[in-house]
Amino acid sequence: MSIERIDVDLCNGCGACVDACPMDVLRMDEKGEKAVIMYPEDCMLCLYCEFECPVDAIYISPAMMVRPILSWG
Amino acid sequence: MSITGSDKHISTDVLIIGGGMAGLCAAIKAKEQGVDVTIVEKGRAGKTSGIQAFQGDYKVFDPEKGHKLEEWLGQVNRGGEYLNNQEWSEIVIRESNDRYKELISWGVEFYSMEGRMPMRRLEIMDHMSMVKGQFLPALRKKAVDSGVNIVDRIMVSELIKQDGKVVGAIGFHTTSGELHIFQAKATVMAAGGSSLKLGQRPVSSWTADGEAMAYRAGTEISGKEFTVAGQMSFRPDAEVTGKDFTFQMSYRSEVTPDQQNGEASAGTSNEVDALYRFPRFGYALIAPVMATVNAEGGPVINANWEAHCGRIPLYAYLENMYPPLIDYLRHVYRKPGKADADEEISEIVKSGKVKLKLGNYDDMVNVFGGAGIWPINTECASGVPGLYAAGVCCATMASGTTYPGPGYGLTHGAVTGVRAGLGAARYAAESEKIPVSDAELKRVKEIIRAPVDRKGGFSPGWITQIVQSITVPYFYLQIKHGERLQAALTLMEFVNSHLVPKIKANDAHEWRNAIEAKNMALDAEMRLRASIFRNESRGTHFREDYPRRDDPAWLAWVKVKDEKGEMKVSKQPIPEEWWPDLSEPYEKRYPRAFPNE
Repeated sequence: MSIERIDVDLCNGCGACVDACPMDVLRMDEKGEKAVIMYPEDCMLCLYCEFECPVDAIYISPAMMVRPILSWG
Repeated sequence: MSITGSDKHISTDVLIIGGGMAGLCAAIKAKEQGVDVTIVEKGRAGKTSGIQAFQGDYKVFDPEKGHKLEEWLGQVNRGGEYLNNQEWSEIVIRESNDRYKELISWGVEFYSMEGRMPMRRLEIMDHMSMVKGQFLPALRKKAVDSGVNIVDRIMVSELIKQDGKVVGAIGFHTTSGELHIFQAKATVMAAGGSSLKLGQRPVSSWTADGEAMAYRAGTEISGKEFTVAGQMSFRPDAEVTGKDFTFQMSYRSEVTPDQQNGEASAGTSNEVDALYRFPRFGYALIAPVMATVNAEGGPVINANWEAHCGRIPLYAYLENMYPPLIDYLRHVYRKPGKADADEEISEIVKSGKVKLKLGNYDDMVNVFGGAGIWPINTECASGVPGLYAAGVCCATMASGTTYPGPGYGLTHGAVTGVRAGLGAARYAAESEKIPVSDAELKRVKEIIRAPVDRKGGFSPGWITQIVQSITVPYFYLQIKHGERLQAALTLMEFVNSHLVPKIKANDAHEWRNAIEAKNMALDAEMRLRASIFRNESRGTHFREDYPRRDDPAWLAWVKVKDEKGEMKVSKQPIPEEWWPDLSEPYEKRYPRAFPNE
């Protein structure tokens, strides 16, 4: 797992992390109030979101997620 | 998914595909010429570029500081093993200073690297650094202030052609799925580099989109048999005693006094340089690795050869690190307001107790300034009228077989960006807008929509894994052999002919992944064909069955081109005046030996 958690209490909904993500992993929630981790499997551990977050709400594990080759679906 | 709503049509004089260093420079420069300019970017222009991973190092050639052109060129030629286009190398070096001054005038902040770059023992070319997180947003601001139209989060997947010319591109919004049709008099492809989405360096957004689109539009592609090959990765379960680290490193042989003077020689010592990154500071550490690659050559080849011979595991010890590197890292990776972490990394490194087990692959990034779309002139024209190329996806061959050193890639991006921007603006000013026929629009719409219109099919994630499994293990594209390459090519041909046409995307995000998987599969086939064709070893291309350079037969570039649906490979000889001195003994021409040579 790469990006693990966005602390909803800390997140101020500024959207800086969503703008910063090169892999389209992050999105704003339906109300546009908080950032959510939408596609964690595409996180490449670049840490730009953490770098940009003004309130340190994002936690990223240093371990890279490696998906097993299991199914075609 | 169902795509509803009407398509969005955007008309412009110059369309720039990609909003990184090259794209933004091209846009600003083209706009200065008085034409309409639109940037389209699959992420966010001035924010999500792959070059964010590479610090902000920038070469500044300045004769007033005593820099000598022949010394700088000499370093590029030796590192590039004479496969660099010396006209382009000289252009990049000479124009670096003009671009540097121009970037400052556009709002980019630089700082000096003097005393901060630990690998100078091997590095002749001086460089500055731009401020991380500042320079791309500054360029975006400059572009917007200049009146450049920016369209973010649009995955462009196909170039639109009419009467043999490129007249625009088609893409979709990666959230809404809305189709965007761009019509332009001239198009600049600045869509970044080519990796295989492995994430060892955070450049997984580089999926060869630019060269794949250009290839399908009929341009020549070059440099596919080489990689920057600067590092290896560590598994998370490696024997790491430091807390919270992930690591990147290069493998090097012992540095002798001769090597310190720039005269590299071969070695197969297990000693390694460990280069690491600290998650809280972020970003891959690239620059020092590159400096070692240039002078010492093929570190990944050597490490992989050790593994190939069964001499594994290989370990790296942080205590072996060149001491100034630690200070350099602390400087580069600090994050404002996180002094505690800064202290923490320092303590771990100082303890010198970090032992690492090496992983078995690198991220297979093609050479910056040495792979991608072949420019037919110094205006970065692609050979297909209306299409220009800039940045990492433009194969000027200013680099050669490997990356010449820190800063060269961004400098190449600025130089080619400006040249392509000027070329495209000139072309646009001289051209009429060509209307796109309904048949062409139907053709590109069918291609782009295929993954979402299909009822069922293979997931993009699975296709990506299949491509990786055929290319990433060391014995395909790092320790190469004709038989294994041929076997891999057979599989890749099957993937491209049978699996890729059946990729299915369930939402707009996955649609982007589907296009990327398709482009990566094409990229992989180009890499394999180019590697089979070059039956010698040179630079980062090592053939176990041909372990020597073959001069002058292979003082030549390999070009890949689509001919009526067939991928054709050809050879273009390098002008004789750029050859090394063939009267010199081989060992003197090429101080670095390949394994088993």
